[in-house]
Amino acid sequence: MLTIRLDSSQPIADQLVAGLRCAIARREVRAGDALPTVRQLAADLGINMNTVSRAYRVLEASGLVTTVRGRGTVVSADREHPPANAVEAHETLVRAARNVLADLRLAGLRRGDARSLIQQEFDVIWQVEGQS
Amino acid sequence: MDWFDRLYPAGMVLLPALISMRTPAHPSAAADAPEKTRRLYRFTMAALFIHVVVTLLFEGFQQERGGLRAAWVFAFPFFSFFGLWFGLAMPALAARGPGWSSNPHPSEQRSASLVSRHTDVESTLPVGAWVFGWSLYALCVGAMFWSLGVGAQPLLSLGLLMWPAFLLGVRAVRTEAEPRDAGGSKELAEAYAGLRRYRAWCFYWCGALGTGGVTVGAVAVAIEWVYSGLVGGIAGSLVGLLGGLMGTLASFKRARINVLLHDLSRAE
Repeated sequence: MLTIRLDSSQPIADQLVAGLRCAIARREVRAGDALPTVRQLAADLGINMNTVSRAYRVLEASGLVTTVRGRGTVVSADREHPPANAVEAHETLVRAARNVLADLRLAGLRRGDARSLIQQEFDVIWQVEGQS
Repeated sequence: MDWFDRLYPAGMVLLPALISMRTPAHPSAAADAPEKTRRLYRFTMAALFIHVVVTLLFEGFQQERGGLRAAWVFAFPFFSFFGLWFGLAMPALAARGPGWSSNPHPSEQRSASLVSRHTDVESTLPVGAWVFGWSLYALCVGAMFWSLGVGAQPLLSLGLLMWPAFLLGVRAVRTEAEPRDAGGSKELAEAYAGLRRYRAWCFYWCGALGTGGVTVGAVAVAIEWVYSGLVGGIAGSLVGLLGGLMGTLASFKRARINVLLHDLSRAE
């Protein structure tokens, strides 16, 4: 299930990319699964087909999906291309984690609640099918 | 005037009121819904009365003059169907609930399934590839006769056009919008899947029967003109009636989905 908000300040294409990355990380769609066609997804969400195409291109560039003749856009991996600059990539991840924690703190969550929320998502992403 | 000329206009005039009766009022129905429905019933009775009067007049003309050629003129009350449906029934149905509303589930939050519907539709088609094969064969036979200049050219052209229209219809079923609720309702997903399979099935059979029937009818011209016209006419009428019936039933299924979407979006 992919959800977007039309009244969000985040561009719709970015919401799509984030939603699809999240679905791949959570194994809602797995390597080899065909994603909805551009036309289908655009119709269901009531958005422009170019927006969906743009999101699929971003995912393709990152190595998560690929276009297969006759099948459309298919999930190719659950891991993105390794970045050229590992140090910079690490810093980006740290910054992203810091931002998530800052969001939780600024939303007024207490330490225990924030930890259990993170733990809940952590379990979904890392412990599907007994992965460690 | 035969029984069809008497019953068909009456049936069409009654149809909007019957659909309205078949649609229960939703808790969110507008306050003026009962009045709009009563207005529809009043005009339906008036249209039916006109149809009966016109039919009786026609019978009188026939007895006096021994037959009237322009019988189709007396089927004119049928056209009141359009006024009843678009002018009265649609507003009445939309007022009774979100099922027949043109915009039943406005929301700033949109969600969609990540499952491709292509595979589902392909696995739905009821009897496998042989129907496609049969229709394609009928189409090829039609095309061959058409190229030779044998057979009823208009009928053959219709048969040739039906095949791509049928394929486009099945394709359209896959890409028709199926906006989901954010909660991921199983009932809604099943309703969508049910409608999708039903529509694929309808296009499949209408296309297969239509293409085959029309082409066989057209080719039969080379053998016997009268029977070929009969075959083509029967096939065309059957496909038309079948398409109308299936489309009406699909509208009911779509109305149920609209109600589900409306209820789910209110529950969020």
